[in-house]
Amino acid sequence: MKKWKQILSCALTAILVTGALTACTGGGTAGTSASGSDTPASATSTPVESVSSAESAPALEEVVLTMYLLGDRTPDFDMVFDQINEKMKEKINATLDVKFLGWGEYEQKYPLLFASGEDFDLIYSADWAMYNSQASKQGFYEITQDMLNTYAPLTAASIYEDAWEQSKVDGKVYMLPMNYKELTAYVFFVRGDLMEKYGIDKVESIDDIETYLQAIADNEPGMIPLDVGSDFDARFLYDLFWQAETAGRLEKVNPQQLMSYIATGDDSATVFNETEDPAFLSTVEKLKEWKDRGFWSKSAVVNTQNNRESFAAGKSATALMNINNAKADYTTLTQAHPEWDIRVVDAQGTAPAIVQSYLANGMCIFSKSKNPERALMALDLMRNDEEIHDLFSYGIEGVHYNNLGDGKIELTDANENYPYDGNCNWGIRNDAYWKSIAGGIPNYDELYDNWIKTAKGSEYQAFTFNNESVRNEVAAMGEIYTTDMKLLYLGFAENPEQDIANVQTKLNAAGMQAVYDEMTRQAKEWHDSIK
Amino acid sequence: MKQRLLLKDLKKNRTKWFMILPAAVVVILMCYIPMSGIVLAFKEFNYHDGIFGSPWAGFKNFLFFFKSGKAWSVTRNTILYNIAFLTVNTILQVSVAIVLSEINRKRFKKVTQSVMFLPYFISWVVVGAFIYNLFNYEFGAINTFLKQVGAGTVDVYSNPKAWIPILILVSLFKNIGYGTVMYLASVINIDPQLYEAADVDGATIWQKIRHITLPGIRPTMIILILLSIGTIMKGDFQMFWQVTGNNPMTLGVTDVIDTYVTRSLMYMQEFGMTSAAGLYQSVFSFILILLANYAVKKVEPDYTLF
Repeated sequence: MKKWKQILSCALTAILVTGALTACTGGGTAGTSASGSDTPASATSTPVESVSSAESAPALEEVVLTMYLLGDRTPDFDMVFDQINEKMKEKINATLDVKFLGWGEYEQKYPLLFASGEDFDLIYSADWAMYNSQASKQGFYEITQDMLNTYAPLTAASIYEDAWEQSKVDGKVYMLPMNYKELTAYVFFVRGDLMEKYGIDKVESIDDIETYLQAIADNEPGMIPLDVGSDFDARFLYDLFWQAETAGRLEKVNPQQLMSYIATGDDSATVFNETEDPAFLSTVEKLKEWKDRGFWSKSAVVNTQNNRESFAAGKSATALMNINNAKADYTTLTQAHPEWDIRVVDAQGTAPAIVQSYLANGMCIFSKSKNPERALMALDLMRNDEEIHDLFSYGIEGVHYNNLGDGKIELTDANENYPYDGNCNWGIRNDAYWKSIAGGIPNYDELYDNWIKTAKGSEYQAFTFNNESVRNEVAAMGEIYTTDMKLLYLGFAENPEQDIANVQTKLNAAGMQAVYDEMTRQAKEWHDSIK
Repeated sequence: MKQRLLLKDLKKNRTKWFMILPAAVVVILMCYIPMSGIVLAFKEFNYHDGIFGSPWAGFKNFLFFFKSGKAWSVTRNTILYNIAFLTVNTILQVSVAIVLSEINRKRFKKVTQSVMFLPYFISWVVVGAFIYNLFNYEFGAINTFLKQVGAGTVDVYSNPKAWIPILILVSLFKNIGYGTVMYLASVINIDPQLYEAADVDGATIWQKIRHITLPGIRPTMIILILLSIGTIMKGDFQMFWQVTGNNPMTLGVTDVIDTYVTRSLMYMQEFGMTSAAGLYQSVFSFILILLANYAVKKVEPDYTLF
């Protein structure tokens, strides 16, 4: 009896363990086997309009393409994609199966997708979302001009030449970047009710902001004037002050973690560290002064809530964000808190707005995709078919938005189930079909007109640094960037001059010069090649 | 001949062999097979050629670790923290286990055990949020209280020294229940006759603890300590990252190997370099455990791991 019990329990354990193991491995393959059964062989009857120039098979075999996007699936996402798939199926006999990588996990999971050999075809990418690191590890499928002509004729005709050039890594294109000129400019949100309370008539410039922040710091002990410090906004203020000081004489060289600049007009393309410019000291001193006056928390460096969230929660009196976030936040916040009387203030001052690199958003094809040509055809449609582009970008007309004509739309209440421009559609944005929201920030046009006059991109925006030969030094510098530099960006410095010297010593020990020598070599080569 | 013996043993003790089968399968699948991935540490990894096909990089992947001059300080921090955790945790776990075993009121005992065990299941992210809400300069519970009673405020996040006791306490908070249960089980296993005999001889409670309980749980203690020495080079990443909030101002005393490596490679996604750091930890852990085992063998040959 007892023996039987023993054997039984052993067997149970064994079953449980094997069960758990197979469950783990099973998850990986389930995605691939579930595809392709929803609509049976209609392959013969599909005319292919968009690729009529291609001599490839008269009828296209039906495929399901797996596409990875960043962010979270919105409630109406599947509804919208059912419509997109209907059109896709009709035009290229392909449908899209979309999967999401959440914001909180994409940094870890994104590289794993490539390493684990999962079966997928399309993925969102960007210069800030691992485009370079994955491209240099052969994670993406190379897109040639021939392929573009054959499988994506609409894109071939419409893509901005700059965009195509910018997406090259070592001379090869791995991405179709957005066909959309994006301006990055910063604005402050301030609260009209608090301005009135402390007798401030106007907040229009940085100096007015300073007065406003001081009034809050002095009188509102329950509020943090400006709650910066999270990974999202730790360097926002620094960027503003720094750009105001260096605009027109320094050109930024990506990636940001290497803190590298080249003097404007320097044909030798000599790269140097931002701390070496005298403006860095004055910028840090100003930040320290603001921090010491209590404009942000003494615990700012461990802040996990970004300043938009704090502002929305009423915990802080000012928010600082780029204009694209501001458009969305303004609408929701004015609805939720009309009593706040939110005013939008230009934060750029004398610093010109930045024309974003096209690589700020784009779509790539996975290097091991089973159907790279079909993926490219699908991309061509998403970018250039007005109906599909609009569905993906704004949702279903009449449900999520109403078209007002003249490139303006009006959002409906159901929009929150498929937010405008908020479904990781950024990689397929196309200026030709772009529609903006009517209403919103009242002084938006005025702000935009100011920015567009002086907006420019860095001379080296399209340059991409290949760090292969100096990876160890880059890693060591990246570590300093996230620690010592983060403190300086937030004004946490006992003695700015001394602290900057310390950082410089550390950077030199980390091998900064080797990195910059290599960068200078590549930048010069690149600079000469485009002249 | 030997094979025959093994077969015979397999037949004779088939139940026992069957019982270790699941564990053996898990260890082989989860530990031994992935171990071949160590080669990554010496490779310049790319997706196309995969783990084994990528070109060799020699020891290049290890360089970044020593480049910044932090290798020594993070290794030192990792080892010192683990020694501190090990000592404080073991002493308190054993003491609590003995106290609980001496208490006869069943309900009180059960409740105490459960309450102490509970933190073991709380995620470090949540613990990190607790800590932030305690120590935040403007609105933290501690400063709010200090302001209420009219005392000055404290700025914990810019004071590195404060984090040594905080981390030790937090580790204790999380782990005390778990260890206590282990030691309690081993205390209960001690033959009650020994205590009865001691009572007859008129031993005090302290004498009983010293001469019966402590020697009785010594094998458990030694094995648990040896096992944790195996992980002494691994900082509990979640704990150091979440509890300190990855705070640049206190890194001198709160940075351990795992957090340092994460920060360095966050923007690079270099599998080779990450593996190199892992290998560095594993090799040192292996050496340490061999040494510790050797030392135990000298003193108490019966209690060694192998």
